[in-house]
Amino acid sequence: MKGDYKETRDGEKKATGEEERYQLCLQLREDIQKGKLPCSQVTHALLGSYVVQSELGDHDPEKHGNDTAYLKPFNFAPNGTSDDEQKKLEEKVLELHKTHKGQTPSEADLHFLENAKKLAMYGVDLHHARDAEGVDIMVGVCEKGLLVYRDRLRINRFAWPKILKISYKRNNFYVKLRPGEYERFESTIGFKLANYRAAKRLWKSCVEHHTFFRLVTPERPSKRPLIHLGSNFRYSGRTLHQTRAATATIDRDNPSFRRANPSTRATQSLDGYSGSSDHDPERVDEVIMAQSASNEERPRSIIEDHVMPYADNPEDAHKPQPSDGPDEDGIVLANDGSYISRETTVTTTTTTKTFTVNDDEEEEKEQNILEGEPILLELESPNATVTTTTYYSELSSPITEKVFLELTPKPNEDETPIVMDEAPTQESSPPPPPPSTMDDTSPPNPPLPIEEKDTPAVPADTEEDDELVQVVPTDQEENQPFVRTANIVHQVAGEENDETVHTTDVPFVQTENTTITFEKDAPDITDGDGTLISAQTLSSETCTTTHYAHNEGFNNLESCFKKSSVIDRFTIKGNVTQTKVEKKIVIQGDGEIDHNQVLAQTLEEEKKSNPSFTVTRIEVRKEGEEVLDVTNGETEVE
Amino acid sequence: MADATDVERLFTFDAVVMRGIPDSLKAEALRTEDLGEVDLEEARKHHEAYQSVMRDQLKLHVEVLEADESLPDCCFVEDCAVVVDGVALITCPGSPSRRPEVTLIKRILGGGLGQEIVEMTEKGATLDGGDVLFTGKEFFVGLSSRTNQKGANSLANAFPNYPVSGIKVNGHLHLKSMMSMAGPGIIAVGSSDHSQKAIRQIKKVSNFDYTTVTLPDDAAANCVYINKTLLHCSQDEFPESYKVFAEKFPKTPRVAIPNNELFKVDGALTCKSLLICKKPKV
Repeated sequence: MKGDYKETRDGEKKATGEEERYQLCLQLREDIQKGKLPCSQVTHALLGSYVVQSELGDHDPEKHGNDTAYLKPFNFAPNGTSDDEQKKLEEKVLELHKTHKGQTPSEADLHFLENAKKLAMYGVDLHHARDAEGVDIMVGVCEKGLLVYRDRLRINRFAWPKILKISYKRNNFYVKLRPGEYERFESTIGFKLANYRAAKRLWKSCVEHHTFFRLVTPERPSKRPLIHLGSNFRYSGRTLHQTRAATATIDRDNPSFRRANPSTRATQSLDGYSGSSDHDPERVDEVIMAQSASNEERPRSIIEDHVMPYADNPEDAHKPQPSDGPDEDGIVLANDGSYISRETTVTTTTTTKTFTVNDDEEEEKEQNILEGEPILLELESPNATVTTTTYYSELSSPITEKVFLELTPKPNEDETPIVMDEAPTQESSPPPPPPSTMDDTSPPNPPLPIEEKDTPAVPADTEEDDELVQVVPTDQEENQPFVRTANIVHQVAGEENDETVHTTDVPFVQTENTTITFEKDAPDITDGDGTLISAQTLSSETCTTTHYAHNEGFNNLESCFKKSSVIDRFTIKGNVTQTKVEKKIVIQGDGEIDHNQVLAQTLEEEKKSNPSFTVTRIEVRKEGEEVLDVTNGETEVE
Repeated sequence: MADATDVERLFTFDAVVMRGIPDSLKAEALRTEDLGEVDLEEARKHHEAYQSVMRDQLKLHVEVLEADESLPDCCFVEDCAVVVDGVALITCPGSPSRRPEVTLIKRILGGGLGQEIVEMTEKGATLDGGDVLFTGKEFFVGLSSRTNQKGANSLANAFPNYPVSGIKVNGHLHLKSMMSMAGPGIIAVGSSDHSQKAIRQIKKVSNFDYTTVTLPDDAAANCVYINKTLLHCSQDEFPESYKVFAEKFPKTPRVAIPNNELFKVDGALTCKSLLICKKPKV
């Protein structure tokens, strides 16, 4: 029987009915037989005794005799066990079998499962691989994360919360880890698999295990062009959370099923019961624990230990860190305030979600989708570096991964052109190892839709303002030799009476702000079956300011200031912790500067220094004017 | 996975195996440093005290094997076997001079004490019991000058029900020279750099969570948790560490056992005994 089951250590009682348990037992027996689940002799005997009880019922000297002959049809240990050991094993089984009197097949199965799940290798999906030094190892995927074994010895372990990204490329499998307590940087570990298929299989296993055990709802595969490289594979079944929620509502009778057994079991009734049925013991087995659905233990995240306690008031969480930059509103006034400046805000966010990267700038063609294939097309271009890197999002890690593919800037009256076009080179350059997180890298193509934000994400701009600042230009006279001033009306938030309104005259600077926001959306947690249990958003912000002097024939006045701030937002939804890291760069400069060039350069710099960030929004703002949002807006992924 | 009662059960014993101190220990026992001459009379007094605690206080069956003059380290029986839940893995000690020690141990464990004997069959595999830390839920094996990868693997094969992880050991003879179990889920560890490095490794790879109690003296981190009682260093030997034990374990019955003499030849408290449960628990 090919088993494709998810082994969870406490699920047996809760989630399954009698037949399911029986099937699971059969699968486990097969695994033990094949040596996939190593056990001690004592355990072989114990498990064997439960199998015998389940199949043959109570030990009866009349039917079974007093020796081990009746156990001949059974195989309790992997092939390769010596005859001597077999004999010893059978004797132990006989002893134990006698002690199980009165157990129904269902009860015996339950005991079998209880003991099997205690085994160290239970629920571990093993893959042969080689480490960076070429040493033979095994990579194990399980409920808690990844394990690395040298023979039977564990030499390493990566819990899911520690993993930022998993990817595969050709026959290599990569795991990117969060920096440890004493480390500053992330680390990536690579393994060599036998071939591409094996690498992909390992990756898929990780996706499945992670989704099932860690996520509230499975991730939807993103909508992609017909022809694309790499896998769009996502686990599509129910997650553990959903399974538990669903079984809490199931209330059904055990269907009758026939148990296969090596010996004839004429006395067994077809409905699976043995012995009397005056009470219904099977009902008890189908334990439905309604509370298990809601009392899901939240996967522990390392970050939580450091960052929590939670801010009860999401507002508190938005308090920015003390920064050494200028005021938070992102507007940097020039020293003399006598020029018209333009401000570009570039916001980048770390993206830790992996998608397959399409390096080939192919035209989209109409083609038939191969049925049943998660990958539409896999091409190996000999010229371009094909990255079949697949990113996998780690929702429970502090850094959420979700790459937003670029936006389609709306045509706008502002002269700011579409950012992506400005810097096509960054997109199509082969990503350095570890593979980059950039998504679709073909600029001319329409971008992929941005996923809807579920977090109560505060748009970057509003964070800065504690006060409402209205800028009202005063007398606008052309040829005014003096600096135009504007009346700034301060209204302290929360105070309603006008007595607290202050007015200040400040130099009126017409600035153009281009804000590029790289965002990471929250995953569709509330989509489908999932329930939003609670959501709290915390964030921390760090700001740095760089004075960027554009040095191409401009005079001193024509310089621009660049201020960058990094905002980490942690959102906790039920048992999922997600962090969004948003970096916003505000470029404010003289109107004479080729603003677009500065923008492009900034993007390039950012791309180089933070390859995992993606641009999600570009905003151009002229001070005193309405903000022109040049982003695509938010569209929901199907 | 074992739960709390399971773990406590695994630290409950009804028999202890020890071995007498041979005269040859004074001159010939292996030692990493020269810490002075061993006073055999003192050492034997401490040995007696240890036995007395086991027999009279903890009511265990104490089996004291005869010392063998040709085996100067034979009193450190811990290195000869790893016994858990009725299964005894007979080791191949890293130091060739100590290998003959296991013969008698094997006979005693497999005989009257009813343990299931497992031997290390892989060629080149070496393992010292002092490198094996069993927490009740999993094993940590120190990869030291005495225990190698193959040896650790043999342990994993012998105890397939438990995760077994390898821990690099530096600056000390054995893993348990730096740490030991002080209770269910509690690891007592020394404060030296080496010890801290080792415990950090453990925290990284462990399958389960543990609390740590840090002792100022590395040697004091070797203590024996048995039948809900904690045996540890004396106040004279390591006064600071003694204080820590008193503070951190106010409710646990504790017994201070002096060990200054055998300490000179790298003998710690756990080295002197093999803790057995005569009736294997299934």
